[in-house]
Amino acid sequence: MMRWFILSLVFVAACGDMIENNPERIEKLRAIGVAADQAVYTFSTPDASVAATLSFFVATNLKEDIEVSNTSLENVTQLTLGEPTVSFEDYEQLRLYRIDVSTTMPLQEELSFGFDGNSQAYYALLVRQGGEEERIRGRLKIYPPTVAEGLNWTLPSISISNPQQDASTTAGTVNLKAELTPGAEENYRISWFVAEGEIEQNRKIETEWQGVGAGRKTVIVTARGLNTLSFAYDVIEFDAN
Amino acid sequence: MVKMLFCCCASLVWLALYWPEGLYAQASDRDQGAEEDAGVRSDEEVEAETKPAPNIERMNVSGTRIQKTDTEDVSKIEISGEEAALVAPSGDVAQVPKVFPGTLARPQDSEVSIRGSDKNDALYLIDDLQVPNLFEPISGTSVIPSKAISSLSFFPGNFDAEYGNSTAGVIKLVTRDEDITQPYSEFRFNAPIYVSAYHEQELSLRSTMIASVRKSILESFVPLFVQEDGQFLVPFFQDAYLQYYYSGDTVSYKPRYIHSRSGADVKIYTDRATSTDGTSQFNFRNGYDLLGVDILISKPDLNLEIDPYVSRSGFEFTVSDVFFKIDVDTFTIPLRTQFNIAERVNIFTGLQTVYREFELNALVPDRVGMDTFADPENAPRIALNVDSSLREDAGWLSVEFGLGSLLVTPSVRAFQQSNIKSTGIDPRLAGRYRINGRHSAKFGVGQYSQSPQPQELDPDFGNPDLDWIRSYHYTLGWEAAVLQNWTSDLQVFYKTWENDIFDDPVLRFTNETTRKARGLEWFFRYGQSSDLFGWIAYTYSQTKEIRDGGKEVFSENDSTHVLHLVGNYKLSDSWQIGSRFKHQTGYVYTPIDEVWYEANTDTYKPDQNPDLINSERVPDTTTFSLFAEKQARFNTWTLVTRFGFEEYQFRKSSPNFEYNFDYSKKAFTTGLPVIPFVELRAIL
Repeated sequence: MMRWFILSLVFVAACGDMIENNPERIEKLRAIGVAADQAVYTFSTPDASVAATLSFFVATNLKEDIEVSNTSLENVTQLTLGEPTVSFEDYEQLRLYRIDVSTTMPLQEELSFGFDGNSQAYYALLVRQGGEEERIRGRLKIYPPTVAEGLNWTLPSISISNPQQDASTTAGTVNLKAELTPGAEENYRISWFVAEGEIEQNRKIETEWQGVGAGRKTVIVTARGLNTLSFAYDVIEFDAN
Repeated sequence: MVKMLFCCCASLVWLALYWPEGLYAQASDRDQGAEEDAGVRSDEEVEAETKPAPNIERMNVSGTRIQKTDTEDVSKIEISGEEAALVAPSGDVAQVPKVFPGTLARPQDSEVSIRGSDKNDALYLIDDLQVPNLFEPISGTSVIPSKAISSLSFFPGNFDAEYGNSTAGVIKLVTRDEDITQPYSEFRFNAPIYVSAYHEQELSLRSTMIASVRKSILESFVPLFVQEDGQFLVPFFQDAYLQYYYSGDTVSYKPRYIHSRSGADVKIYTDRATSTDGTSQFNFRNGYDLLGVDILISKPDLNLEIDPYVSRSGFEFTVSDVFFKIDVDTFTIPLRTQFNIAERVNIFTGLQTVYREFELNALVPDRVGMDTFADPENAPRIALNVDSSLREDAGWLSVEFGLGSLLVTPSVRAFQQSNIKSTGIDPRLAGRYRINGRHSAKFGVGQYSQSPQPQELDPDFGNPDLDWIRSYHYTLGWEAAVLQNWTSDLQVFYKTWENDIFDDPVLRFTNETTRKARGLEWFFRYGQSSDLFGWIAYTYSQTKEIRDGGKEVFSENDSTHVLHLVGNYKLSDSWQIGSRFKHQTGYVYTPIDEVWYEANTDTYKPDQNPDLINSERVPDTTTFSLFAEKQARFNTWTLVTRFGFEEYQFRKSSPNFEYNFDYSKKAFTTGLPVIPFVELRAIL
């Protein structure tokens, strides 16, 4: 039969009776994003190194300690990460770890620049909690100073506007909504994280959280700029009755 | 170039619409005048004139095509278009090789992988035209209507030096022409994919025509199922085929025009959303126009065939910030001749020149470093703006001679391509030994070369130092008429590849893959051209490769056992029933080892462990298709209803399985539901 039908039926069959797939649900150690402390980076020079701080955010439903270690990548220019500083905030349903590491941008001669004037430097980190391991990697764009000056990028921010912090709502289905303040003109990818139930469209800035039980609930929303590679997040708690 | 193309198209349309009447009038005038001298020529006389000189051994001119004797047919399978349309997947004649021995096709593919080759390595020809895309990408069916196809020839290996730039095999669709004697019109409703109209008729004693158009109706149905919150999915396609054929005393020609357009506009919820509304948008357009003419000049002891054609094709897509747009103008002049120089000695020669002009604009993922960050969304971008041209030249020579019961064809093909530094020469040898009236032995050995894909040779995106991919084919076979109406064709083959392409993380592409395939094929066929026909096609094969000097692994197209049972029975003048059964060893796949969280895209991506490449298999697949055709005749027309279901899977299917978001869970598709289809044809 026609390939479109086959593909769609395979998709339906695959989704229909097979894998439970809930990326929004945090049921183990999970990375939720990596933030950089600047919107734009330039390369270091022999006279002046350019420093950066990367913040790795990792959520878990287990309020236990984690271990952090460096790891290497092949065939790419990799940033050397300094000693990690680990902190966390406890919420009712989740613990959110923040791992800050300092690094220095490579020299110009260590980089190759592409058509749009930027180069790439990669980072990687391993985080463990009990038997769970999360391998996290990503990249930063590095621009020559002359190009960076012309980029009016700032760091984006996102905040959950519904429900509001400490609000009381009805259990069952809860409407979720976030407000994004972009740092540049670009596409953003949203992601919602919770500890139970299901989110109808976890990539949508306004969606529904279904299967919310009674009690104090934790919701995390993240946004990442798909061109600037920037990151922002917000977390709230509310009461479902 | 475009103007020229469309002027030519317009001329062809004019030719098809108006010239036949002139020709017919000319023929009538001539016939009236000639009747006084020699009387009206019978069909048999005309047919006799179109046949070759009798002293060319077994040569058969069919349409405008020079056909050799069966020494070239070491591995050839031929089927009539009428039979193929009854049993082929989707009723599409061009897809019948899917149920032949030596082939593999994944459910979503129309093209076949032949004896371990990649599906894109096969050479698909309409007569002698190589169209940019034989299969329309939305429906997966061929752009040429099945009714227009007289026969399909399939060469899974050891094909003649006439065919080049392929290491896989040749699939050739031969169009109808002089066998058209009655006007025939058909309107088809293929629910819910497309509607089509087809017409053929004899224009005079010497000329015929075919015209066909097809248009999708998917765009009316599919959006009904995807209309939530601004999502949309609008696929569409259309194609047309126009052919005129004239057969003179010594010259015949067949001009034709092929048109194809397809595309889709998609905006759906996806984990790869590029917008805060949770959706991602994707658009693509694909299409081409081809105008060509086959000219055959037949003289005693000499045939000359020239088949020039021009095409303009385009492809573009956009997804997120990635876009790709390419336009290609192609001008091809194939020329071939056949000389009979002595009893049982024929010489076949040919030349072919292909000139292409490219215009490429793209922003695509850069392949450097892709081994680590293999996710295209997360890879750095590379911009391409290329105006380029490419020329391919080839010449070939085959000498066919008979020695007693042995018929042998040594051949050689020389070739060069402007973007590959080295030239090439492929020697080949094929032969057949007739043991007796029922049994023949056959063999073939030869070298086959294929150029890397244009993007792989591109100085910016690929590696301009790539060389020809080479393959060596070895085949031994035995053909027999074993029982009444049964024929058997048993072949063993061994095939190797050198210089195949390796996706190198630093150099992007290198010639560092070698591969080998070996196997056995058995084609046991019953009742050609009878009310009951069918076949058993069994293939045992093993295909392994070594990538960049690593360890030997199974190739993507390795499947140990493939069995097809195909049959069709004409129950009465109005009813036919047919079915296909397939059992296939599961495809290999690479199990997940390390998984990384990609911080820039908020997705998970597995890394490939070289020790695990293609080390596991999905479960075997068993599928069954059943279909029937009912003809209801009315006073002035006939209604043909074709219905049934295709590819019902009895058990877990290959190659489909699904991972969850972080690859921590995997499950195989547990079997598709029955997919029914109904097709209505009104025949006038």
